[in-house]
Formats: sequence, C-alpha cells, structure tokens
Amino acid sequence: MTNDTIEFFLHGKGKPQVQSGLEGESLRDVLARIDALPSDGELVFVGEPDDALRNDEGHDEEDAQAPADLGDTLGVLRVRELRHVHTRAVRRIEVTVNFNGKHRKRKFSPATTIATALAWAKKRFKVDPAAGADYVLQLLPERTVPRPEEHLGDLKPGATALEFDLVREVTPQG
Amino acid sequence: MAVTSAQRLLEADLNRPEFRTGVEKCQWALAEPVSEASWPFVYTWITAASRGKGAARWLVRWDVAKYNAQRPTGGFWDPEKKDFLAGSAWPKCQAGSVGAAVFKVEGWAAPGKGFYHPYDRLAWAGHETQWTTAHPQSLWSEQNTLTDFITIVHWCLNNEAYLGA
Repeated sequence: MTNDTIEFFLHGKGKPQVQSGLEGESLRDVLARIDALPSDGELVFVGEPDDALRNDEGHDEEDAQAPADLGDTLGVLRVRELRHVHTRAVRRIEVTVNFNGKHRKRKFSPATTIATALAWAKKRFKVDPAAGADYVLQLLPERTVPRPEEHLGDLKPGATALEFDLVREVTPQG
Repeated sequence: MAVTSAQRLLEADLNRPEFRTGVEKCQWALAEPVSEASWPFVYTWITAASRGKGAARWLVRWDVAKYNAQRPTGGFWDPEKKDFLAGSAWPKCQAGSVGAAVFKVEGWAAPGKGFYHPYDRLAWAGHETQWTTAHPQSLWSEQNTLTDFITIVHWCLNNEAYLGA
C-alpha cells in the first residue's frame, strides 16, 4: 500500500498543477521534493470543505477545516480521495459579499471553492433559486468572475480578505 | 499526419487540474481521445442537471483549429447522424437567461452550429465591437483554455434556468 503512487492537484504554487507522491510518503517530504513547502506562518490544507452549505445560519461563521499535519502520510491525509492540496495558505479568508446594498461576511478556508461560496451567498441573501439562476460572484475591485471550481485561496494568494458582488451574469445579446 | 503544436497545447490543457477536476466530479469528460485523425475536432460529454426530460449528458463537438490563438467553436452533436444536433433538440433554458442565449438556435449567423457566447469563434464574428464593451471578462485570449468554454456550457446545463430538452 505504501508504495502506491497518488496523483493530486496542488494549489498555492502558481497555477494549479498535477503532482504525485507515494501513499506512505509524508506530506512534508512530498512538498519538499516539489519545492512547495509552506514558509513560517503559512499552512497546508487537504480537500475542499463545504461546511457553508451544511450549517445553519447562526451556527455558521467559519469553516472548521484544520490545517494538515505535514508529518502525516498522503494515505493518512486521504489525499487519494480528497485530491486537492492547498499549500502556502492563510488560515482563513474573510469573504464579504455585497448584494442589493447589503453585505454578508464569513470566514472560509482558502481551500473552499467559488461554487461553495456562491451557494452560501445565495442562501444567506435568500435569493430565489429560479430568479438567481444566472447569479455569479464578481471579484472586487477587478470585476472578474472566477470559475466555480477555483479555490478562494487561488484568487489572491496570501490575502486574508476577499470582497465580491453577487451579480447577474451578462447575457450575450446583439 | 503529424501532431501539431496546437494539438500538443490542447492535450496539455486537458491534463491540467482545471479539466481533470471536472472529470473527477463527473461534470464533463472526453468522449474519445484527442487524435490526429479527428483534429481539429474534439468531442466531450458535458453532464446536465436532472430535469425529467433531457439527457443526463450532452455530446459537444468542438472545433479547436489553431488552438488556442484562435477561439474555439462548438455545438451539440448527434453521433449517429455525425452532424450537429437538430436545433429543436438542443437544451432549453428559461427565456431571458444566459443559457437561453448561449444555446439559441435562431436569430444569429450560425444557429445550431455554435454557442452564442463571446468565446465562440462563429458568434464572435460580427460582435467584436459590441461584445468587447459588454463582455470585458469574456474576451478570449491565449490565457484561456477549452476548459473555460466547457465550464460555461456546464454552468448553463446545471443552473436553475436549465429546463432540459
């Protein structure tokens, strides 16, 4: 078992990339081999948490995802199943979403996807599912629309806060 | 026929996490391997939300000639007829939605043969000035990959405005 090779998707070192390591290898050794170890104060997360979709308002202020222990093996960390390793990350990113003059905030793991943050925002603003079908998160101040599977921590590496407008995607016309 | 640099570039993009994550989450998949024999056409399945009527996944043929210096173009494909799916069989979305525009099969230059979106080569022609202003975030550049376009189609097939076939 310990010699099985596991492929995973590495975030936090430039563009996301495909990497691999042995199931019995420690995460520290794998990250060192690919020059992706975190510096002091930086963390590593494994997986893509979706706490924000499962928790009720009032009990949902922050993701619970704990940083990975670099001494654990890829097998112990379930990298084969969870697939995404996010290195050189901050502990939490405070996300602010603006909609119709109101604001909602929540602290997300940097390994959370835009899709999860969008679903959370629609839920918090009580957006009607049909009416909100075309809504997307537009990153400020750039006004770019990140892809649903992008990680929050990939948008502005090192940032501890991100702000979005919840807007309707522009319909092609003409 | 030799493998072109465009094909090598596309294959590299399809091996990147952005495409492979979608495959692993059952959002899309290659319908057949990219090959010199098929080039510049590439076939992908794109999964759709369950709507009672409508396919669980849709086959799209992409024309990726001169990838990715040139925009791709794509359309829903009928593998039996080896032609674009009849316009009446294209997926439907709520009127006024982005999906209804992207999948519209009448009222533009290449109905039923391309997606009505700034990423699509056939749709872009004639809309350069208007869409450069209206869609500054959807202007194709060499930083884009086919996965970006697949993501748009997948989103249209899975948000609440999608109605099925």
